[in-house]
Amino acid sequence: MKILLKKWLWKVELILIALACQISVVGAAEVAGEGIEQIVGTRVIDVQGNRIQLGMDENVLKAVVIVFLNPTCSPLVMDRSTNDVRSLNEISAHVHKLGMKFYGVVSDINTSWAEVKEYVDSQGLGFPVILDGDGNLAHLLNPVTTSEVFVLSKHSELLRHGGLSGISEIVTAVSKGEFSQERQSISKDCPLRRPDVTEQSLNYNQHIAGLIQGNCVECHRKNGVAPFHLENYIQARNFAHVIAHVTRERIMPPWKADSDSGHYLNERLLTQYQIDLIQNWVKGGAKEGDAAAAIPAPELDVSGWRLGQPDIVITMPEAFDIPSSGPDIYRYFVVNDAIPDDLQIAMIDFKPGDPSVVHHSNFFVDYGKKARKMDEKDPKPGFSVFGTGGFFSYWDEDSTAAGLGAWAPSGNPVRYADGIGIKLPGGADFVFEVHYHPTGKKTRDLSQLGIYLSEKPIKRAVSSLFVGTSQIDIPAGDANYRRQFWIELPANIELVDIAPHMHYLGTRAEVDALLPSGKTVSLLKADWDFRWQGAYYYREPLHLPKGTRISAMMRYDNSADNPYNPYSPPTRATWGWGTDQEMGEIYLTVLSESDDDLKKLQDAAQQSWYRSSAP
Amino acid sequence: MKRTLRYVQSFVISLSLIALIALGKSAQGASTMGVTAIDANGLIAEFDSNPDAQNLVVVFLGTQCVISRRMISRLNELAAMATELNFDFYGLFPNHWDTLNSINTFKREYEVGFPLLLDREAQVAKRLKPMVSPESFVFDKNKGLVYRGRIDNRFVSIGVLRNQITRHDLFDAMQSVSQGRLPAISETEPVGCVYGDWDGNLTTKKSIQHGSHAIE
Repeated sequence: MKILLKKWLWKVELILIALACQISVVGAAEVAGEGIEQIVGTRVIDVQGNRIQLGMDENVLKAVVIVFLNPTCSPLVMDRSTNDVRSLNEISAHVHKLGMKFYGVVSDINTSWAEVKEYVDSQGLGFPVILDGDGNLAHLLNPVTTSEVFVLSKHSELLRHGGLSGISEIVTAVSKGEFSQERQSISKDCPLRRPDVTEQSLNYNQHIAGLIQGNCVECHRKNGVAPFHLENYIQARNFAHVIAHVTRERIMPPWKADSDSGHYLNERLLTQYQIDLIQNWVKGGAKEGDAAAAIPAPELDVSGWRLGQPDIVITMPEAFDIPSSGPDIYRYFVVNDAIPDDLQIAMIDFKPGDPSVVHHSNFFVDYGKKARKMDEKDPKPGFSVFGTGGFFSYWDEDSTAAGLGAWAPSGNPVRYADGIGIKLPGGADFVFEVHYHPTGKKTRDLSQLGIYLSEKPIKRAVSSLFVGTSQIDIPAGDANYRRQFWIELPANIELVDIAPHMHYLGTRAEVDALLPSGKTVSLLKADWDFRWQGAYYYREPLHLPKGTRISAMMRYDNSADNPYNPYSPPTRATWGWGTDQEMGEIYLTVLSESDDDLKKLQDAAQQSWYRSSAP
Repeated sequence: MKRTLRYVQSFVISLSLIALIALGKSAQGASTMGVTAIDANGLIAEFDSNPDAQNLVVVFLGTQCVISRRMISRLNELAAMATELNFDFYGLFPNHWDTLNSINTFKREYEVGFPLLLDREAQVAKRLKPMVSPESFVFDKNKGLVYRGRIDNRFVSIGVLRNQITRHDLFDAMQSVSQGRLPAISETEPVGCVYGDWDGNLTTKKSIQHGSHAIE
């Protein structure tokens, strides 16, 4: 009886506190911080040292639930329907069951990593807790108190903002697509004190380490693809001015799409707030701070395989020597009979032998043994020709080769959602095309491709569509040459990713989809840089109905002001495979609804090519 | 007036440098050259007793800077021409984390064909204030500093490399000096790994510690 009474009294107390603390009722839009659309996809490190891309881990999730926590203000939750007290773990389990992700965020002026870790351990919190050391998440979401909850769609739309009360019911409704941006009361009993980010107080351990670990270290590390390392304070301080410069100029992290052109799975962007923070940290002397405040560095996989050990590894047949200087080298390497059997592929990754010289790589499968014959004629490892030198052609009926993706530094591995993948018939040679850029040091490269097989049968196989034109003729000196081409979809598709392709004169690609409804959707707006080419992966496959017109505008600069211009003075440039010629194409990875549909789509792509290539 | 003052300043710097390098030259091999040079005191006096002073090119470099690395082959070509043009030609490493070891490794790996010096405690850098690595300085033995800036226009900005080099600024400056003329362009903006403020705490904070380590 005594125990029951005590429990009852405690509940009353909680209710009273809750009532007393409902100081103001605030609408989501009024509180939502500027830049809320940048939340999903943000790269952070949790207190256990795990690398997280918010809402992006374990494929794409329905929604993201973020709760701000304070170790000194433990949140227990009143459930609306049962008046029961639920723990955060129960809520997170409920959220996870609904296909959403639940994150705790500690964004507090005086809380060190050690304190957060102790809180997480003592409470046995079973969900990721992020120490928002740089205050970026608090900046974007603008919470005023701890226990404040934000529910965001995977496109970073704010679905709900308020207190923890009733959160279970709300996420259930969100999971069913029934949600409204309702106004919620927010308890202000634990006011949130933002991190102190003045120039004098900014330091590596508290404010900068998480930012660098989350956004830079994947490449800037031992055996990484970047030229110097940023794994610890000394290394970051040594390059502090370089970091300040390249982030300010948005050279790093490398990302060429416009920030307003939509959001992608493989997006790499810092917020302006983070960039300013770095500038101020460097201005303040790039201080180290208290070691106890720092999050632990995430464990880095030294195998070079970002997705773990592959099921199948295809290695270049022998190492290739790269001289210390000279022009860039484009070379094909053939692995005979690399794919003897039919494969169902879920993921693909590439491991450069010497990351410092491998600029990018394209992958092909060759069923006609044409590439190996070309290789046999060249005494050195592999062979060099302009373009694919005849073993691969776009519209030739006899073409027996196909593309299988590409890799560039900073690019994510190719990874499809459950049930989606590549169905690859057996009996193929594998061909690496590797672009090398000499670095000043002689070296050897032995690169590898890793194939990860699908655990479950692939229900929907991806296919590649390519649309482009060979009608390119750029006058010498023309700084604003444009080519447009389009395809009208003869069947529904889901668009998985898009990759533009040009050579050194290309400057920009803009691709739109004009839907049958008359609405225009931007598929891509990106500056083109031959040195940073890659695909843009949509956060979820984009449904484009039959009748949609996909239209691409490619821009070129053949003036002397284009530093990439292969000729000085500029000369007329026409279509061709050579890097001193030009191309204008987009590659679309699509899911079609049937083999019939796919055939229609391929035919439409071919017609598009002939139409736009006619003089 | 300003211009005159600048030349006076440049001259003093050049005297110091030439003396510094001259000291280094007397030692054999890179292993002692760097430290000896940077340890030198009474530099100007030393210059007075060095009648063999040449015109001089100093290029600030960084062992970890990818742009420094990529420019070595061009610098090798220029260094090979330096004797003919009456120049001494040196690479200088002012970053506090560089050691004789790291410089010798760099020299071997990147096949550097000209002498490299460790600028201990950034003594030379604090005077010349290079903005980035690589940045070159050209001294006329009679006129002092006559050119500072980029080697050529291969790099337009970080990560943007010209496919065709159209300006060879360092070579042009060296050629002008060897012909007894002032370079037509005395200063260009170099592109490279930003050094930061040589007067601030950041770049010099632990230099003594690292410098001592280098001597061991």
